[in-house]
Amino acid sequence: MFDNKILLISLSTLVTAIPVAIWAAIFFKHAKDSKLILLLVFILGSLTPWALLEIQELWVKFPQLDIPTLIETSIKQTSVMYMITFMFFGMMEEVIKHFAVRIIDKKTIAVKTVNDALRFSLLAALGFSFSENIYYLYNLWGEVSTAGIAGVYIFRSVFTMCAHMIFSGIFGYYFGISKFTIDITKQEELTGGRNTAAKMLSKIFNIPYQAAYKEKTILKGLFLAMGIHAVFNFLLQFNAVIPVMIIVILGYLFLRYLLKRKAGHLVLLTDISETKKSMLAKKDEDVVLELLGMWFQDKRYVDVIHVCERLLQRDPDNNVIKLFKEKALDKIEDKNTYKKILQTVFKGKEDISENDKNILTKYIEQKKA
Amino acid sequence: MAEATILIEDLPVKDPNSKAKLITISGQLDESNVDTKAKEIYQLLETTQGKLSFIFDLAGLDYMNSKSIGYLTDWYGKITERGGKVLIAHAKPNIKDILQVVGLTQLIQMFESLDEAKTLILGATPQNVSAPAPGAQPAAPVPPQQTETFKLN
Repeated sequence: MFDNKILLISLSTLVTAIPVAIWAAIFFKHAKDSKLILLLVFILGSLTPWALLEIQELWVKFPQLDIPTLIETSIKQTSVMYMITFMFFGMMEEVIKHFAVRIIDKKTIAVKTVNDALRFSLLAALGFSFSENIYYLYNLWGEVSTAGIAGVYIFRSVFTMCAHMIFSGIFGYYFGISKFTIDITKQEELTGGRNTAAKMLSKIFNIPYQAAYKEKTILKGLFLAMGIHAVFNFLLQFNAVIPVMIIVILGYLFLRYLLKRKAGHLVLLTDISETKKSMLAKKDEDVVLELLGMWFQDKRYVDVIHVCERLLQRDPDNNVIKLFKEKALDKIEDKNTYKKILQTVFKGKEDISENDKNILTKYIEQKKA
Repeated sequence: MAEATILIEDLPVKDPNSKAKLITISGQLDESNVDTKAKEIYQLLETTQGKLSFIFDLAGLDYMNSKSIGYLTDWYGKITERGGKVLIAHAKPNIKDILQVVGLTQLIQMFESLDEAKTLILGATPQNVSAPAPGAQPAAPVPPQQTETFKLN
């Protein structure tokens, strides 16, 4: 039986497809985008491990690019050498997975929201994990006992698959955020801030500041995913199941934290291709935006929220205004300012106007929800 | 450089302890002139003792930048601290719109004509105070310590 390669590949594919089908059903069910594009992302993701194998073939032809061999020859201690090699491959996997998302987005311009980017990244990771698990299982048949295969199958189907999706999810979040670079940089400009890393990238590569900011955001996500994946692979070398589980859970919590912030930044859920026209003249709106920048710098967050609410009635799809509002709410949240507002901004509870109460109540209700 | 002019006139007030000024602003208040023009109002605030009220006639004002809105808020804070009133008359729709969005129309009464504003300052009840635009919400109260942040000069 173990000599029949087709049978073994079919069997490996079949069992590996079970968890993939469950995850895919979830992603496809909640997807508003074209199912075909999602399928393409998944297929491209499932091809990436083979691309990684192809890269390894290239290293044979071009040994000067062969980093694993360089690690092997440079590090004498075998265990350390293996660890670093596995960490390197973990990082390589993230790089190759991220290309799947970037390529599809470049071809289809399908990523319009953070949720899109997240869904694409999760599907690319699912595809990658699918192919990788088939490869692992296929190589295990005849080598270890059935119980051993079952153990590997369960571990890889549950933890490794989730881990891949979490690492890619972190990248996906930043990739989605990068789509709103124009709004984010405009908002930062109005509050007098410019990102140092983006400025440096802009100078080094001689590209516009906004393009540099966008790349900086994408690279941040990629480096974070690579870093966590490297730690994950490092721990796997010790067969340390508990620490591996902890790193997966921590990665998940970090992703949840990012998504929670994104949920606050409602602007990033808006489809940028369906924006409504502002009822205010651009010149007048710029005046109010400048004022928002001034008040934000003066930490007058409650006033910023008030003005944003009024401004959004006239320009409901303006992402810069939404960013101001959500950032002001974040600031209030960061310092648990509900009490502070009552104590400092207003003289006493009785001084709060009905509208202030409404805004604060609305904010607290949102928090509870 | 944009042109802006500020004319300041005394208004006759019956109460000897009170003073009222009609401030006519026209042109465009922008970065190039707003600080200089604002100084004139601050000088007026410093040199005039007692209860002081302002009527801003904005019929000729085409544009005001964010700084000028900040100054206006600051003047409102200083005048009301001294028991005075700040009123705006004749503002153009775009100016009204901006003031409404930033919440100033909830603090400062707006009038369609100068006479109505004058009537209020002189003690009588005005007939046609402009109602807040639909959808406008009351502004957050501006405490004195907050208005200080608008000292931009």
